[in-house]
Amino acid sequence: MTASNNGVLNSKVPEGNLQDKWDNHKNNLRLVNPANKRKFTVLVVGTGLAGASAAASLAELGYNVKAFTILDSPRRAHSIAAQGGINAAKNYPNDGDTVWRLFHDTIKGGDYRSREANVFRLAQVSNSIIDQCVAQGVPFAREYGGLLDNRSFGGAQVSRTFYARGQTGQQLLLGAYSAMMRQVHTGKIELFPRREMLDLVKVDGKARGLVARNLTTGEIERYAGDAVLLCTGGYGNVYYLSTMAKNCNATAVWRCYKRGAQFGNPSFTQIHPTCIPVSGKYQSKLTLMSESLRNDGRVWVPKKKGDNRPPNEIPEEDRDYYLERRYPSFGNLAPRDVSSRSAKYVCDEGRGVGKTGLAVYMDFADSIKRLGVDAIKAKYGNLFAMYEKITAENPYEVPMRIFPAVHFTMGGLWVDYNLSSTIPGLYVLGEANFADHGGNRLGASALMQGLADGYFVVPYTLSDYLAENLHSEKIGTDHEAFAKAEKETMERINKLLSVKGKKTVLDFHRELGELMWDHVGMSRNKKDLEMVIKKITGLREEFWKDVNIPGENNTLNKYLEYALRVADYMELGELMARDALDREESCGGHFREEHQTEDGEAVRDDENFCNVSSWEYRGDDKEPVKHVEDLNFEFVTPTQRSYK
Amino acid sequence: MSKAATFLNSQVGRKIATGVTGFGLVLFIIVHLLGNLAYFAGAEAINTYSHTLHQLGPLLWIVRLGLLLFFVYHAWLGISIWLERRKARPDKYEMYASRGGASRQSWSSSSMILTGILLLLFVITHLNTFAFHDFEKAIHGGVEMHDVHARLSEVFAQPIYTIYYVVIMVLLGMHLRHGVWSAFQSLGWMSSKTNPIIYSIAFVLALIIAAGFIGLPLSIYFELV
Amino acid sequence: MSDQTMTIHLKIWRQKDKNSPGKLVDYTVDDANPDMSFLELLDWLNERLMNEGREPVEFDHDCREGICGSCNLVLNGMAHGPMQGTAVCQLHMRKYKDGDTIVVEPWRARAFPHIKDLVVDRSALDRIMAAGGYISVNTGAPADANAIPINKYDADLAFDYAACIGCGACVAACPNSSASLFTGAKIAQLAHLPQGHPERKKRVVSMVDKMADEGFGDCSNYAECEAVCPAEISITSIAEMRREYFKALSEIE
Ligand SMILES: Cc1cc2nc3c(=O)[nH]c(=O)nc-3n(C[C@H](O)[C@H](O)[C@H](O)COP(=O)(O)OP(=O)(O)OC[C@H]3O[C@@H](n4cnc5c(N)ncnc54)[C@H](O)[C@@H]3O)c2cc1C
Ligand code: HEM
Ligand code: SF4
Ligand code: FES
Repeated sequence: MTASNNGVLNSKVPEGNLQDKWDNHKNNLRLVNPANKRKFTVLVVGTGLAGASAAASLAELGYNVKAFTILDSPRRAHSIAAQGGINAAKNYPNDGDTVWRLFHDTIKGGDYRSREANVFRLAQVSNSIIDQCVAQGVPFAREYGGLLDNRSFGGAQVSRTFYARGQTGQQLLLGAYSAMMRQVHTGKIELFPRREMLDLVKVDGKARGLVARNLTTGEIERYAGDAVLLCTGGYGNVYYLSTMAKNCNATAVWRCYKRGAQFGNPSFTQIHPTCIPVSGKYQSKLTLMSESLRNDGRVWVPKKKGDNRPPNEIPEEDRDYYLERRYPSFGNLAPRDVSSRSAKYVCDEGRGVGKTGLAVYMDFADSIKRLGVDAIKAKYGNLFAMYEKITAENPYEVPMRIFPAVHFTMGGLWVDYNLSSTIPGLYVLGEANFADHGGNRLGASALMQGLADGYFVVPYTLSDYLAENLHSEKIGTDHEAFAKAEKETMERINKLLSVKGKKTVLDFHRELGELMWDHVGMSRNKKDLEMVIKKITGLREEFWKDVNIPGENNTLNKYLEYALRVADYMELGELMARDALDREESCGGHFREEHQTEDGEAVRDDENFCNVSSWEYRGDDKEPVKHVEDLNFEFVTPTQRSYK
Repeated sequence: MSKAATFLNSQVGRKIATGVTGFGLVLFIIVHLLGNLAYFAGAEAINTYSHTLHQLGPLLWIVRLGLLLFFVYHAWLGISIWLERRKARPDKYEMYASRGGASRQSWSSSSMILTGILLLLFVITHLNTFAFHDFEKAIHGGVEMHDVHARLSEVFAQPIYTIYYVVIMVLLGMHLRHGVWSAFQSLGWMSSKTNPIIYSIAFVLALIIAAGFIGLPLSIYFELV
Repeated sequence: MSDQTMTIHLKIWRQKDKNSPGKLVDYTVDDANPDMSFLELLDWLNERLMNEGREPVEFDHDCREGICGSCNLVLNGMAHGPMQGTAVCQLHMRKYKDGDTIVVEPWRARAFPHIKDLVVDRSALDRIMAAGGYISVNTGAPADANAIPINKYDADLAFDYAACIGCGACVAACPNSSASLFTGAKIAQLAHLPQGHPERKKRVVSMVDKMADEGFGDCSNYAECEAVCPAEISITSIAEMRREYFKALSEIE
């Protein structure tokens, strides 16, 4: 692996004071006049918060937008599943919040591995997001006086989280979706549901279109445009089990990577501490229990290994409230990565609970005693009901069983301050890019980022690019680059279908997931990472020799879709392991066992790794090349996180 | 199309119209029922009641015409909603079941079209039996009038007709068990709070109306009056 | 958690495409686990089928948390199966007994054209939304979010209606295949918010017209929709839609 900095990675962060950067930048960005806007076609891939908000905003401005989603409706994008809330620096509760504080918390939460200017802009536009959503009719929680309610989330010291019962993501997405459908009605957006982007089309080094599979007919379709916006979400499903929806995938970003877009910090994954544990091999995905539960639930395991007594029969003195013990000041509210890792440790010690031994208790008995059942019911009623639906256990009486699960990927395609990837004309928004969360994402900030990118950043920065390309030649779908992309895609599909091996796609995905979870998960080390890279290579070879895909290409065929995605996961999984191996430090969600203090806390290496690792594809038979973007902290000083 | 026509052709407009005509018909049958009760007060009472109605002249014709219109329109709406329903699901389920709970699917709601059409047929025979009949004459207080009392006594002495009438009134009760509640919902006079109350009121009202109408023929047949 | 397994007999609707005839096909899963969700049972069955060289059953799904509205199965004649307020992805096998038989069918309605096996096309619902299920506000700088207080009663009610996940179970379960609950929920949500008022008349008229255009049936107030709705949307929303429509008389052409 070679590290080089050949000037490709120009983050294009504008000069000036942190507070003024974005405004100055906007003043300097070129505009496209209204008559010219309608000459441009923008392809928006994905209709989650990032995609829907971008598609709607661009169409409102007058661009022609084509929007693609794998699902049958844009409203079903994975953003819909977010429960907790969205941050903004409104300071409505008057508890001292400011744009600076939101910025600072986010950058600190990210363990100083994100770009100052991006994060500051995010905090700056956060307030406009709330205004925009309320204007769209998003029914945020309100107080009796009729004003918006806020809560504290993810251990923040101020109440800056706006929420809509346990369905914040749904309500925000429905807001963006409705703005989008309004433009569908006016004809400015053309919708392409049940389409999966399978390749990017580049002409003269610029993104000029894509090919997508029509998931109902199997046809490969060509779409040309003046820019492509990737808003395809995160790739947590590399781990097989995660809290991501089943159709979340890495294919679009991975195909773009293979066309030359660099991949930033692929190994940065967030593992959420409070999910419902796995119950058996048939398990297809994991369900998140909102983090807000940690405000009133106490996490514990038995002190003794193999203590099989039912939880209510284990007396106080035989319980280990390990978070409270290890982190007296934050206790059960210790950050996500810290809580997750601690749970893993106690389970590794054999003190895990439940049938599989892979769970810890989250106990509400004390809170129920203190506040009464009704108060707990009012706060968490729907979460408790959901838990009971899934596990058939009543958390009012028996402590919940929880376990960490993959939840979010901070890594993603590398983008500059304008959200442009290393391929001109290819923009990356939302969870699909690597930008704003550094090594670890704070609760309630992904929704904020997705909407910031789509509503308030890309409409400006894209116009700059399009203005520059006003006179470039229009490309039609009959261009040879399309034919080539289509042909390669068809070949890949036919090759997969012709393997006719013995193992199902699920078998392979499970195997890959296990490798990733065990060795590229909460805790990583050199030896395992080296081993896992080899194993994944082997698994990938086996996949192409022995996978069994049913049916044909020319109809709806979900296992074929799935196989194409798993094929990409195997390559991405390897890159994640490589990146984890290369980053010789512990930061945020990336914990390298070699880099910890005596009592097991993460040790960052700001000397050598205060940077972004950005990987460039060089060919299937070559190792990827790492580029480095140095992170310069001009306005904040990185400190070692401590939650003791 | 005019505003009214567009309104009445829309899915919501049609329902509002079903509700309005349904309510109109319910109002009519309540008045009708009260009129019937006069039978219990004796021949003079019911004959005079009928006579007074006939004295209304043009007004009576307006009411009759209105009723006819409501009735035909209501029936047409009901039938067309039902026809639309068949078009809206060309492939039937192999197995279909109601979830219960909040569902208002019941014998009465599922048979609206059947009970409605039977009511339609009934009304024709009913008019033939009572309205277009060549009545005997009775004289009360020096005035000559139709002897409705005698006709009623004669008709409901026959077991077949009495049974037929009673059965139809049970069907009317069923039609109203769903219909009255449904009309409130169709007109938008419903909130989550009032929903269960109105559903219960509809049941009671349907019961009273059906029982009221059944009471008369049975009383006559069993010579209780 | 449970170690015991159960045998489940399935009769699943198999249909290659819109133009081919479909039929119920019998399958038996003899090692189902009570902790499986119903969709996991289908995964399990599909894995078996693929290993036997047979074609797996196609069905729509995504979040498997009851929020995205993708899953859409009719089990023993009930949309989303037997549990109240539950999308079929959140239905667990412990709800059934060892040896039970479950008939599995797709949503059926003219407005939901068939695609394959248990998959249908629900884009008609999106088109109803495009007809007016929004507030016309461009991205930009609207007033401060707290500029318009909204009383908690209306805010909460608006939320109850906003909870619709767009699954289409209301249509599937309705004897008339009416989309009134879906459409009513959106209209009622926006009617309870001051932001929604400027366009309320136009909205209700065009959304109601669109429902009919798309081939959904009329509503006969069976309330079966409310019974199957995973978001437990009340049919009061339909009553509200009718009120709104009545008030919009002036907008009708
Ligand atoms: C259970 C859960 C709870 C969460 N809770 C919170 C929270 O409380 N607060 C918070 O801030 N964040 C939360 N998050 C994170 C947050 O929801 C996501 O990061 C965010 O919604 C991602 O939005 P997105 O627009 O980038 O992508 P997504 O919403 O994932 O959308 C991706 C879109 O891309 C489409 N797509 C993907 N690949 C292709 C392709 N190849 N071709 C065509 N289309 C494609 C998909 O169909 C979809 O439309 C949560 C995440 C999870 C999993
Ligand atoms: C005595 C006469 C009748 C009375 C009092 C009456 C009353 C009602 C009422 C109150 C309703 C509810 C309206 C609504 O849902 O909004 C209704 C519905 C209905 N009526 Fe009648 N009705 C009568 C006769 C008829 C006749 C003759 C038909 C003939 C076909 C009929 C068919 C229907 C049908 C099908 C419905 C249900 C409409 C739907 O599905 O939405 N009714 N009726
Ligand atoms: S109203 Fe209920 S049943 Fe109908 S689409 Fe919405 S969530 Fe599904
Ligand atoms: S799969 Fe998302 S609601 Fe069932």
